[in-house]
Amino acid sequence: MTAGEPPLRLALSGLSKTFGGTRALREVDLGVGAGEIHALVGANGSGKSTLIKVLAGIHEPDPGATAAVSGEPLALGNAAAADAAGIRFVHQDIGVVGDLPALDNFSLGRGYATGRLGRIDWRRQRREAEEALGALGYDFDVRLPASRLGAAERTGIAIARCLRDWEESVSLLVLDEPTASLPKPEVERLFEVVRRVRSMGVSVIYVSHHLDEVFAVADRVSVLRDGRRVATEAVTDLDHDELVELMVGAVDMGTPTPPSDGRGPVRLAVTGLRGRVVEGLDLTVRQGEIVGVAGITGSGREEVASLIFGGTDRHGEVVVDDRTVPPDRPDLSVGAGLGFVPPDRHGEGVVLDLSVLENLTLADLRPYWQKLVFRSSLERTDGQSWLDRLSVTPGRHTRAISTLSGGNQQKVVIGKWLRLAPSVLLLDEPTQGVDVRSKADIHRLVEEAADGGTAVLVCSSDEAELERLCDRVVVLADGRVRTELRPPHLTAAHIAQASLGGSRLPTSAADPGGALLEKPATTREAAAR
Amino acid sequence: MSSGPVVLDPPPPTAPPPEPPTSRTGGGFSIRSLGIDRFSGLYVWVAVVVLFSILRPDTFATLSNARIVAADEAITAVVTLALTAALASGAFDISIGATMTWSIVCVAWLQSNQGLSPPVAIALTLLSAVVIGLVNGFITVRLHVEPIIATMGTSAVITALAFWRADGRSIVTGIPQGFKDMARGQAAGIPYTVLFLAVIAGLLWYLLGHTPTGRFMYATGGNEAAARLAGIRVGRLTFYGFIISAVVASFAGILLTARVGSAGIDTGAPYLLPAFAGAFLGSTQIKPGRFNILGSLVAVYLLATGVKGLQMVFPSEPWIKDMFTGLTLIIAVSLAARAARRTKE
Repeated sequence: MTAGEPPLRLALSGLSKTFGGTRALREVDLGVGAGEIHALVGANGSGKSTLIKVLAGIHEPDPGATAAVSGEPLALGNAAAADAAGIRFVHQDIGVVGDLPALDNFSLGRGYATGRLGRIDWRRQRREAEEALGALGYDFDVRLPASRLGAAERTGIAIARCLRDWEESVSLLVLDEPTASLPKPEVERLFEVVRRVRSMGVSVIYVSHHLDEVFAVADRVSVLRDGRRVATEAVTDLDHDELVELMVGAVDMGTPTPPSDGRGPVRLAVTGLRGRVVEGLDLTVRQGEIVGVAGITGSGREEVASLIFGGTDRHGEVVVDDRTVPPDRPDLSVGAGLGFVPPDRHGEGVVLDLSVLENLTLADLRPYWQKLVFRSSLERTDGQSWLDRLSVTPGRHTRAISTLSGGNQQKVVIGKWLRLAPSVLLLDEPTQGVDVRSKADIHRLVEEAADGGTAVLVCSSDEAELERLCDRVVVLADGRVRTELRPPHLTAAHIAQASLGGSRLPTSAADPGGALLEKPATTREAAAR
Repeated sequence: MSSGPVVLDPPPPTAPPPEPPTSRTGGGFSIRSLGIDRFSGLYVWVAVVVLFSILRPDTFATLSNARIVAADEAITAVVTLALTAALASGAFDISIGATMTWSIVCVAWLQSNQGLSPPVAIALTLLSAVVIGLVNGFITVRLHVEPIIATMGTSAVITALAFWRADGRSIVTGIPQGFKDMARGQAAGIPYTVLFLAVIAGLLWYLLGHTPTGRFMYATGGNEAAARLAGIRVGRLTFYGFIISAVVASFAGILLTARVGSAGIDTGAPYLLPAFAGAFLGSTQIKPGRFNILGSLVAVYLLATGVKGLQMVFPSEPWIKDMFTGLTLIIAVSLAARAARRTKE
C-alpha cells in the first residue's frame, strides 16, 4: 500500500472488539482494493462474523479503530453511516420472501417506482428489476414467486436489490456465507454473478467456510485467527493446504495409531444413511463410546443426528441393539432406546409451558402410573433427585422451565433422556448458546452416560468440544465421510483442518484405504487460472 | 398492576396467600412471576356477588336465583370444559357450537321422528359426535390443515347438516317427558345439570391433571415439535382432543334440549363465545399458564354471575351479555399473553 496508489475501497485499521472479558477482534487492519473480490476466512470463533457485524453497524468497536471508504472516513458501529458510504450486505438469511414474486422481493425495503397518486408503476418497476437482474446475468420471469426459482436466483434477487442504484452509491458488497444454502451446481452460477458485480467496479467481501470457493472466485484472501488478521495474500500465491494452515496454525500430524476396536458390542449401526445433504453414511457406535461428527455447515453434520433419530424422513438403515428402527416415528425410536437432544432448544427441546419436572419426565411416565393412579409424589422425589444429579439450578421442580437459563434448560433436556438409560444418545450442538458452567456440567453428564454403557454420538461445530469429549471424530464434507480422527490426532486444530479440507491428513485404519481423502485438485486448477 | 383491568384485579388482600409448598401434580408455577394471583377469580367472584347483592337484594341475592344461574350455566360450563380439553392438546376447536347445534337436532329428531327411547337417542347422538371429532382430527392431522380453519369449515358443514335434518324448523313435539326430566329435576336441592357437570368436570380433571395422557396432551398443545421428539404420538393426542371436545359439547347439547324441551335452530352457536371466554379466562386461574378444568369452572361462573347481575341492573339492555363476554375474552387473552411474555425470557 505505497503512496501514490488510488485509495483503498475499504481501509480498516486498529479494529478491536471486546465482549465482556474476551477480545473477539485484536488490532485488525484490513484493506480491500477497488474492484476486488476479497475473501475473508477463519475457523469458528476467529472473529469473522464480529468483523462483519462491526462493519454493518450492529456492534460498536472498541475505541481507537479507524475506517475509510475510498479515502472518506467512516464512522464504525453506525448502520446508517455504512449504508450512506455505499456498503451493502447480503446475509446468510437472504431475506427473500418465497410467496412474493421476484419483482416484489426486488422492491422490498428499497421501495417501488410510483406514478401519480402513489400508484405503483408496475411497468417501470418491472423494467428496472429486469435490468438490474440482467446486469447480473439473470434472465427469468420476474413475475414468478421466489419460491419457484432456484436458490441461486433467490440469492441473485438479494444481490440485485442491494446493488440498486449501484452506479451512484454502492461501493462495497459484503456476502456473508452466500453459498450456505446453495446446491453445488448453483454455486458456479453465483460465482458468475459475483464476477459481474466486480466488473461493475463494486468491491466484494466474500465470507465463506468453503475454501474451494475462495480459490475459485476471490482475488485476495485475508485470514483471521483468534481475532487477529494473520495474513492477506493473493489466492494465486497460496495453495489449499497453506490456507488451512494459516487458519488453524501449524499442526503436527505424527503417525496415526491403530484404532483400538472391540471395546464392547455395537449399540448403534447406521448403514447407507441419506437425507437432504447426507449421502450414504455408514457409522457404528459401540457401548460406552463417544463418537463425534464434525464438518462445516452444509456438510451434512447438522442433519445426521436428526436423521438417525428419525425426526425426519430418511433413507438407510438404523439398527439399535440389533433392532431396526423405522424412520419418521420418534415414538418407536424412543422405544428402541434412542434419545435425541435437538439443536433448537426452544423450538424442539423443551415445552416452555410445562414445568421443569414435567419436561424432565415427559419421555416416560409409566413408572409413576400404577393401577389408574398417577403417583405424583413418586414423580416428584424421582425428579428432584435427577435435578440434583443434573446440577440444575435453581433446582425447584415446580418452576416453569421458561424461567431457567438456557444452560439449565439444556441440562433438563439431556436429563430427560439420561433418566431412561438409553442405548444410544444423539446430541446435536449440545452446548450451543450455553454458559461455561453448564457446558462443563453437560460434558460431565455425557461422559457419565457413556461410562454407564450408552453409545453417544455428538454432532458439533465446536471443535474444542469434540476434542474434549470424543473417543473418535468423523469429519463430514458434502454429505460424506471425509476422514476419521483418533488420538493423537483428535485435536481441535486437526478437526478444523480436516473440516476445511486440508489434505495432509492422517490415514486412519478405520477409513478404508483412505479413499475419502480427495485432494481438491479442481480448486487448485481454478486458482491457477 | 395499576393498568390491570378492573374485573380481574383482586381486591387488595391483607396477606397474599402463600403458594402451597407442593401442588398436586407438580405442575405448579412460580405464581408471583406471573403477576396474577391464581385465585383472583374467586376473590372477584365474591366481590361481584356482594356488589350485585347490594344493588339488587330482592332479586339477585336469592337462593332461587343462585339455583337458576347454577343450572343454566352448567350447560355453558360443560361446553367450556369440552373446549378446555381440546385447547390443552392444541386442538383449537371452534366447531363445538356447531356440534351442539347438531346434537340438539339429532337427539330430538331421533326421539320425535324415529320414536327411539331416550337412552338410545343419546347414545347415537354421542356416537355421531365421535365421528365429528374423528373428521376434525383427520383434517388437522392427516391433511395438515390448521385446526382453526379445519373446524371453521366443519362448523359450517355440521350446521348445514343440522338444518337439513330439522328441515329448517324447530322440533317441539314428540320429546318424551322422561328425557326432559333429566335436565329439570334436582336432588337434595342441587339441579341435575349441576350434577352432570360435576361428573364431567371430575372425569376431565382426572384425565388432564392426573393421567399420562393428560400430560401428553398438554405437551402436545405446548410444543408439538418437542413433544413429538420426546416420543409422544402427537397426532393421536390431537385426535383425542377433538373427540373429547365433540363428545362433551354434544352432551351439553343433549342437556340443553332436555332442559328447554325442544330443539331450536342453531341453538348451539351462542355458546361458542362464552366457552372461549371461559377457557381463556380460566387459563389465568388455579393453574395459571395452562387450560385447566378448575380454572375454567371458576371463570364460567364468574362470567355468568357478572352477566346475570348486569342483566338485573340493566334489564332493558339485551346487548349487555355479548358486550361483557367479548370484553372478558379480550382481557383474558391479553392477560395470559402478558403472563407468558414475563416468564419467557
